[in-house]
Amino acid sequence: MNLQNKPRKKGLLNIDSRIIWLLLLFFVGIPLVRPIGIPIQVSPNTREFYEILTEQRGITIALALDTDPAGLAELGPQISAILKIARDYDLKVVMVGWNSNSGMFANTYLTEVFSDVWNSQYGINFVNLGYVPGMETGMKQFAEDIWSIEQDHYGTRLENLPMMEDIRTASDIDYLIECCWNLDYPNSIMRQFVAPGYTKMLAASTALVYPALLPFIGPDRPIKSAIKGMDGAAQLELVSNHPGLAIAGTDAQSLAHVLIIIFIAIGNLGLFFKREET
Amino acid sequence: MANLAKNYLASVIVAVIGFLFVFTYYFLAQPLNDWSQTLAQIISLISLFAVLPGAFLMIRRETSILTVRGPNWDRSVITLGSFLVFLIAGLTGLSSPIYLWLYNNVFVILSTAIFSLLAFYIMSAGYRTFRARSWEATVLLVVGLLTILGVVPFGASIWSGFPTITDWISKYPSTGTSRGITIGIALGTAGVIIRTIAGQGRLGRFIKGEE
Amino acid sequence: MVDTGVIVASALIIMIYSFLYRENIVFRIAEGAFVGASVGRVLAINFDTFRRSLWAPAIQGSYYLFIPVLLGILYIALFLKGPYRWLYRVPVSFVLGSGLGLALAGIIKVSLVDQIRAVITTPLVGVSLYQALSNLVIILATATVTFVFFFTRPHEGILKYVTLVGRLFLMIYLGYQFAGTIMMRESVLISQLNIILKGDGIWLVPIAFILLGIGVYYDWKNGKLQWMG
Repeated sequence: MNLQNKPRKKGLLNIDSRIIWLLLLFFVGIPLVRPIGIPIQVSPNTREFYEILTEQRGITIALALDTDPAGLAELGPQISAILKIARDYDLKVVMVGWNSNSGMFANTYLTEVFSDVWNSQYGINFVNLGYVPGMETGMKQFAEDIWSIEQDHYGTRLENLPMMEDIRTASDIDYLIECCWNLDYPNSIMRQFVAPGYTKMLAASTALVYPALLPFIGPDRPIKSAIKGMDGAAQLELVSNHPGLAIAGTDAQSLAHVLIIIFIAIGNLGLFFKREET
Repeated sequence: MANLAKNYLASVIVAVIGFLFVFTYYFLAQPLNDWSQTLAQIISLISLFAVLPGAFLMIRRETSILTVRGPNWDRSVITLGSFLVFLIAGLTGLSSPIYLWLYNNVFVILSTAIFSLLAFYIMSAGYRTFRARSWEATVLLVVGLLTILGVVPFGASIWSGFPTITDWISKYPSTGTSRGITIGIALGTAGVIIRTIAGQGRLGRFIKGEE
Repeated sequence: MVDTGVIVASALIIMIYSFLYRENIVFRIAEGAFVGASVGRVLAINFDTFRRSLWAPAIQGSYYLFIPVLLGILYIALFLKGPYRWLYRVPVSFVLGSGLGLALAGIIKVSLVDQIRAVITTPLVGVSLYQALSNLVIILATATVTFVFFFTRPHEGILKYVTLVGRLFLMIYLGYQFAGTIMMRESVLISQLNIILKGDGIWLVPIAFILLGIGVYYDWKNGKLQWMG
C-alpha cells in the first residue's frame, strides 16, 4: 500500500495512485462548491415508497437506525427526508435500533427535524426508544413486548409518554422502516417482525446492500418497498419537496462516476494497446 | 460432577435454548412461549457485558506498550487518553452537551473519514484491476458501467435508456441471482447451525471446550 | 460565530486523509483517537442501557433482571488461570443458543421456503411476452446460480453448461453490486468533503495543501519520493 522500491513502469497502465486520488478530490469537491444542477428524475421505486408512506395520515411508523456512522452518508439524508414526510403527514414516529449507535443517531435526526416542537410534541408524535441490546434476541423481545425496555433513550419511563399507551407490541406499528447498513439487521427484522406477521416492512438501504435485498422486495414479499443510496434519498427529497444534502451531493456523485469511467477506460485502452504491441 | 459441568454444561445450554426458540417460533404452547419471552429479555441484557473482555484487553495491550515504550507508544497515549475522555464524558449522560459534542464531532467524523479512505482505494483499484481480460470480466465491466450510468442523473441526461436498462438488470437477472445466492446461503447456514447446536463443527467444539 | 465543532471535524478528516500521501504521525494520532473513542463510547452506551433497561426496573421489583447481571459477570472468567476459566463459556452459550435458534427458525421460512415459493409462482403465462421472458430470466438465474455453489459433484457434462450460465448471471450480479459499492464509497467521501468545504473548516484546505507541498518537497530533496502503485 505504501512506498515501494520498484522501478517505475511508464504508460497508461501505471499512473501513480496519488494523482488519481488528487483528481478524485477535485472532481468531487468542485461541484459541492459550485453545483452544476443536473436534473434528477424520480424513479418508480422511490415514488412507490413515498406513496406507501403517505397513503394514510396518522399511521405509526418505526424507524430502526441500525447503521454505523459511515452509513449515515447515504442513510442520513433518507432518514431526514422520511422524518420530514412524517411531520407533513402527522405520522407517529418511533425511533429505535439494535445497533449501539441507534439512540444517538435518532437524537441527531429528531433534533434536526423536530427541534422547534420538541417540548410540545415529544412523547405525543415522536419518541426515541434508543438502543435495544441483544441483536435478534432483542428484536424478538421488542416485537413481543415493547414495554419490556422500560425507558426511552432519555430515561423517561414509557408510561409518561402518551403515544406509547397504544403501542405495546410490534403489531401496533403499521410500518417498520429498516435502515440497512449491512445484511444482518434486515434479515433479522424479516425473521422476527415480518415472518411472524407483526408488521409490514420498508427498507432505506445503502447502494451496497440493496442488491442483496432484491429477492425480498415486492408487494407480496417481506419488504414492501425500498429506496437505495444517495440517489434514492435525492429522489425522495424531490418528490416530498424537501431539498437537502442528497440533492446537493448528486452532482458530485455524477462527476465521481465520470472519473471512474474515464480511468477504467484508460486502463482498458492501455491493456488493448499493450496486447497490440505483443 | 465438576468435570461433567465443565465439558457439557455450555453445550446443553446451547441445545436447550436453541430448541426452545425454534419450537416457540412455530408453535403456540403456553407456558413455553412466556418462558421464551422472558428468556429473550434476560439474554439480550447479558450481551451488554460482552464488551467487557474486549475493553479490558485493549487497555491491557495499550498500557503494556506504554510502559515498555514499545513501537508507536505515542499512539497508545492518544488511544488511552481518548478512551478515558469518552468514557468519562459518556458517564455524565448520553444527552450531556459535552458527550454530544465529542460524539458528533470526533467519533462519528473519525469513523466516517477512515471508511471514506476506501473511496480512494476503490478508484485506483478499479483503474488497475477492472480490465476485460476474460469474458467473465468483460460481462462484469459492461454491466457495472451500465449500472453506474443508469443510476446517476448524468447518465440519464446523456441517454434516457440507461435508467431503463439498469432497472431491468436490477429487477430480473440480479434478483434471480441474488435469490439463488440467498437459497444457497440459507442451506449452508441451516446446516452449520444444526451442527453447532448438536455440538459438532468448530463452533460446537469451542462451546464444549475442546478448542 | 465560528463553529469549533466543524473546525475540529475538518481537521480530523484532513489528518486521516494525510495517510493517502504516506503514513505519518498525524494519521497515527487520529487513528489512536478513533480506537480509544470506539471502546470508550461503547462502554458508555452499554452502561447507560444497563442503567435504563436493567438496573432501574430490577431495583423497583423486577428481581429476575439480576440474573443477566450474574451471568454477564461470568465473562470476566476469561482472564482467570485455573479450574474456573471455563465459566466464561456459560454466558456465551446463552447468547449463542438464542441467536442460533432464532436464526434457524426464521431462515428456513424467510430465506428458503418463501424464496423457493417465489420462484415457483413466478408467472410465465397470462402475462405479456416481454414480462414472460423477463420472468424466465429470474427462474433461470435462480436455478443455475444455485448449482454454481454445489461442490459435492464435479461440474462435468450437463452440469458444466448449467454452471457456465450460472457464472454469467453471477458476473451480471457482481457488476451490478460493483456499481453499488462505488456509489456507497463515493457518498461517504462526498459527506466528508461537504463538512470541510461548506463550513468554517474550508480555511484548513489551503493550509493542508501547503503542508502537503512542503512534505512532497522534503521527500523529493531527500530522495524519498517514490512512485506509488
